[in-house]
Amino acid sequence: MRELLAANLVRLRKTGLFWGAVLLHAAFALFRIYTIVDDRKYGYETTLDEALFTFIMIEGLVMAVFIAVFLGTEYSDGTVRNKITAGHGRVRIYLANLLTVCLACLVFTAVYLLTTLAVGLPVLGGLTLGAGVIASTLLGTLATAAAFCSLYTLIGMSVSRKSTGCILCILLFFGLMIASTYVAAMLDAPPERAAMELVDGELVTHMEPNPKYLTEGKRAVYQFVLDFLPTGQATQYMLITDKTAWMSLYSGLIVLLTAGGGLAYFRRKDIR
Amino acid sequence: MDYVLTAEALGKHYGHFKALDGLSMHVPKGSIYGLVGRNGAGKTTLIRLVCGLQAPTSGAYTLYGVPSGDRALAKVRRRMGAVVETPSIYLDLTAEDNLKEQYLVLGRPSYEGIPELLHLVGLADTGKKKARNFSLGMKQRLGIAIALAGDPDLLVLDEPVNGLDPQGIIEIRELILKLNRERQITVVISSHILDELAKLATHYGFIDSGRMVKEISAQELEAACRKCVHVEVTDTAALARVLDGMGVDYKIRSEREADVFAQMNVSQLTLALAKENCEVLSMQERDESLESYFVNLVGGGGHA
Repeated sequence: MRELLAANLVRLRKTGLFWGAVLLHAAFALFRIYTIVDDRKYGYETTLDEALFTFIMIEGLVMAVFIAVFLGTEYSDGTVRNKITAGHGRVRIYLANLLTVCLACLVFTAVYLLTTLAVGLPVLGGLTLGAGVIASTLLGTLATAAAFCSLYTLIGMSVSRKSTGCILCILLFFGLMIASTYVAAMLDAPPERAAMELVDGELVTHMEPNPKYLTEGKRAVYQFVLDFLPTGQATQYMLITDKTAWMSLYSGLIVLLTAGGGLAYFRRKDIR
Repeated sequence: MDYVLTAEALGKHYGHFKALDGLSMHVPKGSIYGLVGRNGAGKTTLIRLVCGLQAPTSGAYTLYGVPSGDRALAKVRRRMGAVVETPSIYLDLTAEDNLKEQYLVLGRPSYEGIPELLHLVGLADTGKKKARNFSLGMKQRLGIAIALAGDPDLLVLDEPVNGLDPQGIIEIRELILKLNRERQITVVISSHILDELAKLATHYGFIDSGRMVKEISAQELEAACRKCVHVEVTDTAALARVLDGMGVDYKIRSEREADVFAQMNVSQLTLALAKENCEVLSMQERDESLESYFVNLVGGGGHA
């Protein structure tokens, strides 16, 4: 597998899309710092900490495009055939590709964080979060990123057409985002809501129980879904959470299930 | 005889469609083995199975004596290079970078040999030009260079001259002959251009409807493709009577045409036919070509 990884990494270095994504992460870091500077002008006490983990959501979208194109090129250019004909097993090819895109993701994350700290520390001052919280949240976000990578690798290695793979990955990302946004909204619904009624010709506001408020049992289920979905995890990491361990476990499960499924399919796939 | 590649009752189904149906094949070591068949006969499917791109539905093949499905096959595959249907090249990389990629895939310790390989296939001057800007011929040659990157003993080429101009066809042919003669590389080559294959192949495998119809060496084929005199007359019935009287082997092709498989005295034949009120319209010597042999073998209809 070392040989395959080496070949992938050399190709990665020569891929324009990789460097484009690197620049995008650096630019997004600068943009995030700019928004905090802007917030402070209006009196908000936003700290650099809030910029630290914002990358994870945009990374979900960037990796969807990057992975679909990077892996799809192996099918469109037919070069996956060279690897198989050379005697490399399908499992090794799949895992080497998964590892490569995870490494690319790590590079993007590092670029974002380094840019945020390099520019943000002098401009916005120090971090207020403890080192332990930062470290555990960072590990958590990396686990979420790995889950994104594994999901997109499943698609990229299973779908022979690069454009179809790209569309499916993007749709998956937005589908997950919509689902997690809905779930988060349901969880945020207050126990009571304001209602208006006409009393003696006057509109009177009173509070009444909110039918959308989730009861204990349902709340637990919705919370689990939000913690399980990579986009739900990303949302919570951006706001800093103490559920890093559980969410990392769920991400690990996603990696196992999608890599296992992807491997099983790729092993049987007829390559043209 | 030492066989590099054999297939026994190989089958491949796509749903209800049988692309290969009990195909057996034997490629002698050091040969240039020409796979001949119509469109859809199963040539590319066979090559895909042998290269490990697809798994057979039934049957098996062996590569250097190692059966398909054996773990040791992965190691043996390093002795093989292939161009399947279209060249497998990264379009966004240069020729040199493509070869470097393949060297890395093969685990070669250094990039030594790349300039020589590029020179061998005539791509030494491509510089920083990306493969997507190559002509079809250049892409085909780069594909062959990539197939040669591992110093293979066996080269499998699926229609390598497809879309090439005459000069390109000559260059590929000379390259294949050079590789076979100088490096003793066994070559399996499928092609629709039968005349081109006839200039290359030492052995032939004729495929039709997913089955190997016949395997034959070039020498045996030469003996089978008999020389004849193609005669056009006004009355083939009269011709038949005269030839029967002379004890000569012949075959009637149509109402006015026949092939005579013997060296004859033209004056004698003409006079004999004149007595039967039969005129000779034309006579020409012919060798049966690979094309006509193939057409006769698989029953004609459709193009090879």
